[in-house]
Amino acid sequence: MNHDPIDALTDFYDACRRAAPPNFDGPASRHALLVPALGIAVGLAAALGVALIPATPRPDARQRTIEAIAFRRQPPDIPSANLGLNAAHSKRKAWRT
Amino acid sequence: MDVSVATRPIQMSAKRTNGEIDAFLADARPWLYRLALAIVAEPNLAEDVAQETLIRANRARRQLAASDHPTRWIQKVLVRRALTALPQRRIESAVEASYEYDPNLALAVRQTLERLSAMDRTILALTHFEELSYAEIADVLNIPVGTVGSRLHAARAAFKEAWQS
Repeated sequence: MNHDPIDALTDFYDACRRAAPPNFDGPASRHALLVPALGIAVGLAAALGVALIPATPRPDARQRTIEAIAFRRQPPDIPSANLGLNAAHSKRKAWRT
Repeated sequence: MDVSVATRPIQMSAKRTNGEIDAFLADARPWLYRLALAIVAEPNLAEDVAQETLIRANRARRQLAASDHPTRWIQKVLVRRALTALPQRRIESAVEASYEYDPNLALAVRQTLERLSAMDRTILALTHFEELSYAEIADVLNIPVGTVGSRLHAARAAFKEAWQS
Protein backbone atom coordinates (compact mmCIF):
# COMPACT_ATOMS: atom_id res chain seq x y z
CA MET A 1 0.00 0.00 0.00
CA ASN A 2 1.13 3.53 -0.66
CA HIS A 3 0.49 4.91 2.81
CA ASP A 4 3.09 4.79 5.51
CA PRO A 5 1.75 2.18 7.95
CA ILE A 6 2.31 4.23 11.09
CA ASP A 7 0.70 7.28 9.46
CA ALA A 8 -2.28 5.16 8.50
CA LEU A 9 -2.50 3.85 12.03
CA THR A 10 -2.29 7.39 13.43
CA ASP A 11 -5.06 8.52 11.06
CA PHE A 12 -7.11 5.57 12.20
CA TYR A 13 -6.69 6.56 15.84
CA ASP A 14 -7.61 10.15 15.02
CA ALA A 15 -10.79 8.85 13.43
CA CYS A 16 -11.44 6.82 16.57
CA ARG A 17 -11.10 10.01 18.62
CA ARG A 18 -13.76 11.65 16.49
CA ALA A 19 -16.03 8.60 16.39
CA ALA A 20 -19.51 9.26 17.66
CA PRO A 21 -20.13 7.10 20.72
CA PRO A 22 -23.35 5.11 20.71
CA ASN A 23 -26.32 6.38 22.62
CA PHE A 24 -26.44 3.37 24.85
CA ASP A 25 -27.87 3.65 28.29
CA GLY A 26 -25.13 3.26 30.81
CA PRO A 27 -25.48 1.04 33.83
CA ALA A 28 -26.09 4.07 36.02
CA SER A 29 -29.35 4.87 34.27
CA ARG A 30 -30.28 1.18 34.15
CA HIS A 31 -29.52 0.95 37.83
CA ALA A 32 -31.63 4.03 38.49
CA LEU A 33 -34.56 2.40 36.70
CA LEU A 34 -34.02 -1.06 38.13
CA VAL A 35 -34.03 -0.12 41.79
CA PRO A 36 -37.45 1.62 41.82
CA ALA A 37 -38.87 -1.16 39.65
CA LEU A 38 -37.63 -3.78 42.09
CA GLY A 39 -38.94 -1.72 44.99
CA ILE A 40 -42.38 -1.50 43.43
CA ALA A 41 -42.40 -5.25 42.69
CA VAL A 42 -41.36 -6.16 46.23
CA GLY A 43 -43.88 -3.72 47.69
CA LEU A 44 -46.69 -5.14 45.58
CA ALA A 45 -45.73 -8.71 46.50
CA ALA A 46 -45.65 -7.81 50.18
CA ALA A 47 -49.02 -6.05 50.00
CA LEU A 48 -50.59 -9.00 48.17
CA GLY A 49 -49.06 -11.44 50.65
CA VAL A 50 -50.45 -9.54 53.60
CA ALA A 51 -53.87 -9.36 51.96
CA LEU A 52 -53.90 -13.09 51.16
CA ILE A 53 -52.83 -14.37 54.58
CA PRO A 54 -56.00 -14.93 56.66
CA ALA A 55 -56.04 -13.05 59.91
CA THR A 56 -55.77 -15.67 62.69
CA PRO A 57 -56.59 -14.37 66.15
CA ARG A 58 -53.69 -14.65 68.53
CA PRO A 59 -54.50 -16.11 71.96
CA ASP A 60 -54.23 -13.65 74.75
CA ALA A 61 -51.47 -13.81 77.36
CA ARG A 62 -53.47 -15.71 79.94
CA GLN A 63 -54.50 -18.39 77.46
CA ARG A 64 -50.88 -18.75 76.28
CA THR A 65 -49.73 -19.23 79.90
CA ILE A 66 -52.34 -21.93 80.50
CA GLU A 67 -51.30 -23.77 77.36
CA ALA A 68 -47.62 -23.56 78.30
CA ILE A 69 -48.31 -25.03 81.74
CA ALA A 70 -50.50 -27.75 80.30
CA PHE A 71 -47.81 -28.99 77.95
CA ARG A 72 -44.99 -28.81 80.48
CA ARG A 73 -43.64 -32.24 81.37
CA GLN A 74 -44.28 -33.12 84.99
CA PRO A 75 -41.59 -34.96 87.05
CA PRO A 76 -42.54 -38.43 88.25
CA ASP A 77 -43.73 -38.83 91.78
CA ILE A 78 -40.97 -39.59 94.29
CA PRO A 79 -41.89 -42.07 97.02
CA SER A 80 -41.61 -40.34 100.39
CA ALA A 81 -39.87 -43.42 101.92
CA ASN A 82 -36.91 -42.96 99.59
CA LEU A 83 -35.89 -39.67 101.14
CA GLY A 84 -32.37 -40.07 102.51
CA LEU A 85 -28.83 -38.73 102.15
CA ASN A 86 -28.93 -39.04 98.42
CA ALA A 87 -32.47 -37.91 98.05
CA ALA A 88 -31.52 -35.12 95.72
CA HIS A 89 -29.51 -37.53 93.55
CA SER A 90 -32.37 -39.98 93.43
CA LYS A 91 -34.71 -37.20 92.52
CA ARG A 92 -32.51 -36.15 89.60
CA LYS A 93 -32.07 -39.78 88.54
CA ALA A 94 -35.80 -40.32 88.63
CA TRP A 95 -36.34 -37.21 86.62
CA ARG A 96 -33.96 -38.46 83.94
CA THR A 97 -35.76 -41.79 83.67
CA MET B 1 -5.89 17.46 15.56
CA ASP B 2 -8.92 17.85 17.73
CA VAL B 3 -8.63 15.49 20.64
CA SER B 4 -10.93 17.35 22.98
CA VAL B 5 -13.70 14.86 22.38
CA ALA B 6 -11.45 12.01 23.44
CA THR B 7 -10.27 13.46 26.73
CA ARG B 8 -10.51 11.32 29.82
CA PRO B 9 -13.20 11.88 32.40
CA ILE B 10 -12.88 14.43 35.15
CA GLN B 11 -11.01 13.47 38.28
CA MET B 12 -13.14 12.87 41.31
CA SER B 13 -12.46 14.16 44.78
CA ALA B 14 -10.88 11.82 47.32
CA LYS B 15 -14.18 11.22 49.12
CA ARG B 16 -16.65 10.22 46.45
CA THR B 17 -20.38 10.13 46.71
CA ASN B 18 -22.67 7.96 44.60
CA GLY B 19 -23.64 11.05 42.63
CA GLU B 20 -19.99 11.78 41.84
CA ILE B 21 -19.46 8.21 40.68
CA ASP B 22 -22.57 8.44 38.49
CA ALA B 23 -21.24 11.65 36.96
CA PHE B 24 -17.80 10.08 36.49
CA LEU B 25 -19.24 7.03 34.72
CA ALA B 26 -21.49 9.15 32.53
CA ASP B 27 -18.52 11.33 31.63
CA ALA B 28 -16.35 8.27 30.94
CA ARG B 29 -18.70 6.66 28.43
CA PRO B 30 -17.52 8.41 25.22
CA TRP B 31 -13.89 8.08 26.22
CA LEU B 32 -14.25 4.38 27.06
CA TYR B 33 -15.98 3.70 23.76
CA ARG B 34 -13.27 5.46 21.77
CA LEU B 35 -10.46 3.69 23.62
CA ALA B 36 -12.21 0.36 23.05
CA LEU B 37 -12.64 1.26 19.38
CA ALA B 38 -8.93 2.03 19.10
CA ILE B 39 -8.09 -1.41 20.51
CA VAL B 40 -10.69 -3.69 18.96
CA ALA B 41 -11.23 -1.62 15.77
CA GLU B 42 -14.83 -2.70 15.46
CA PRO B 43 -17.68 -0.40 16.57
CA ASN B 44 -20.05 -3.15 17.71
CA LEU B 45 -17.41 -4.93 19.72
CA ALA B 46 -16.14 -1.60 21.09
CA GLU B 47 -19.67 -0.82 22.26
CA ASP B 48 -19.87 -4.20 24.00
CA VAL B 49 -16.50 -3.74 25.67
CA ALA B 50 -17.37 -0.22 26.84
CA GLN B 51 -20.74 -1.35 28.12
CA GLU B 52 -19.27 -4.33 29.99
CA THR B 53 -16.66 -2.05 31.50
CA LEU B 54 -19.35 0.33 32.73
CA ILE B 55 -21.35 -2.52 34.19
CA ARG B 56 -18.24 -3.84 35.97
CA ALA B 57 -17.51 -0.36 37.29
CA ASN B 58 -21.08 0.05 38.45
CA ARG B 59 -20.94 -3.22 40.35
CA ALA B 60 -17.62 -2.32 41.92
CA ARG B 61 -18.56 1.14 43.10
CA ARG B 62 -16.75 0.71 46.40
CA GLN B 63 -13.51 -0.19 44.67
CA LEU B 64 -13.95 2.70 42.28
CA ALA B 65 -14.71 5.08 45.13
CA ALA B 66 -11.68 3.89 47.08
CA SER B 67 -9.27 3.91 44.16
CA ASP B 68 -6.55 6.57 44.14
CA HIS B 69 -6.74 6.76 40.36
CA PRO B 70 -10.28 5.99 39.20
CA THR B 71 -9.44 6.81 35.59
CA ARG B 72 -6.58 4.32 35.60
CA TRP B 73 -8.76 1.78 37.41
CA ILE B 74 -11.47 1.87 34.77
CA GLN B 75 -8.86 1.96 31.99
CA LYS B 76 -7.41 -1.31 33.29
CA VAL B 77 -10.86 -2.89 33.39
CA LEU B 78 -11.51 -1.85 29.80
CA VAL B 79 -8.15 -3.12 28.54
CA ARG B 80 -8.72 -6.50 30.20
CA ARG B 81 -12.18 -6.69 28.67
CA ALA B 82 -10.81 -5.78 25.25
CA LEU B 83 -8.02 -8.33 25.52
CA THR B 84 -10.46 -11.10 26.35
CA ALA B 85 -13.05 -9.96 23.80
CA LEU B 86 -10.63 -9.82 20.87
CA PRO B 87 -9.86 -13.50 20.39
CA GLN B 88 -13.56 -14.33 20.59
CA ARG B 89 -14.69 -12.34 17.58
CA ARG B 90 -13.24 -11.67 14.19
CA ILE B 91 -13.42 -8.28 12.53
CA GLU B 92 -16.26 -7.94 10.05
CA SER B 93 -15.32 -6.68 6.64
CA ALA B 94 -18.09 -4.08 6.49
CA VAL B 95 -16.94 -0.47 6.53
CA GLU B 96 -18.54 1.33 9.42
CA ALA B 97 -20.07 4.74 8.98
CA SER B 98 -18.67 5.99 12.26
CA TYR B 99 -15.22 6.48 10.73
CA GLU B 100 -14.95 9.95 9.32
CA TYR B 101 -12.03 9.36 6.98
CA ASP B 102 -11.22 7.31 3.93
CA PRO B 103 -13.28 4.13 4.44
CA ASN B 104 -10.87 2.07 2.32
CA LEU B 105 -7.97 3.14 4.50
CA ALA B 106 -10.01 2.40 7.62
CA LEU B 107 -10.75 -1.07 6.30
CA ALA B 108 -7.09 -1.62 5.45
CA VAL B 109 -6.02 -0.61 8.97
CA ARG B 110 -8.65 -2.80 10.52
CA GLN B 111 -7.67 -5.78 8.41
CA THR B 112 -4.05 -5.19 9.33
CA LEU B 113 -4.89 -4.95 13.02
CA GLU B 114 -6.84 -8.18 12.73
CA ARG B 115 -3.62 -10.02 11.95
CA LEU B 116 -1.95 -8.74 15.11
CA SER B 117 -2.20 -10.33 18.53
CA ALA B 118 -4.55 -8.80 21.09
CA MET B 119 -1.57 -7.61 23.13
CA ASP B 120 0.05 -5.92 20.12
CA ARG B 121 -3.15 -4.05 19.30
CA THR B 122 -3.62 -3.01 22.90
CA ILE B 123 -0.09 -1.72 23.31
CA LEU B 124 -0.33 0.23 20.04
CA ALA B 125 -3.61 1.80 21.16
CA LEU B 126 -2.29 2.70 24.60
CA THR B 127 0.80 4.28 23.05
CA HIS B 128 -0.58 6.06 19.99
CA PHE B 129 -4.20 6.61 20.98
CA GLU B 130 -4.05 7.10 24.73
CA GLU B 131 -0.52 8.52 24.57
CA LEU B 132 0.40 6.92 27.88
CA SER B 133 3.94 6.79 29.19
CA TYR B 134 5.82 3.49 29.43
CA ALA B 135 5.27 3.45 33.19
CA GLU B 136 1.53 3.99 32.75
CA ILE B 137 1.30 1.26 30.11
CA ALA B 138 3.24 -1.09 32.39
CA ASP B 139 0.74 -0.36 35.15
CA VAL B 140 -2.31 -0.93 32.94
CA LEU B 141 -0.99 -4.15 31.42
CA ASN B 142 0.65 -5.34 34.63
CA ILE B 143 4.03 -5.93 32.96
CA PRO B 144 7.51 -4.61 33.81
CA VAL B 145 8.34 -1.14 32.45
CA GLY B 146 11.33 -2.57 30.62
CA THR B 147 9.10 -4.94 28.71
CA VAL B 148 6.89 -2.14 27.35
CA GLY B 149 9.56 -0.80 25.00
CA SER B 150 10.38 -4.18 23.51
CA ARG B 151 6.71 -5.11 23.11
CA LEU B 152 5.93 -1.77 21.48
CA HIS B 153 8.82 -2.23 19.08
CA ALA B 154 7.61 -5.71 18.23
CA ALA B 155 4.01 -4.48 17.80
CA ARG B 156 5.07 -1.71 15.41
CA ALA B 157 7.18 -4.13 13.42
CA ALA B 158 4.30 -6.62 13.27
CA PHE B 159 1.92 -3.90 12.09
CA LYS B 160 4.33 -2.76 9.37
CA GLU B 161 4.89 -6.31 8.20
CA ALA B 162 1.18 -7.08 8.15
CA TRP B 163 0.49 -3.80 6.32
CA GLN B 164 2.92 -4.58 3.56
CA SER B 165 1.90 -8.19 3.07
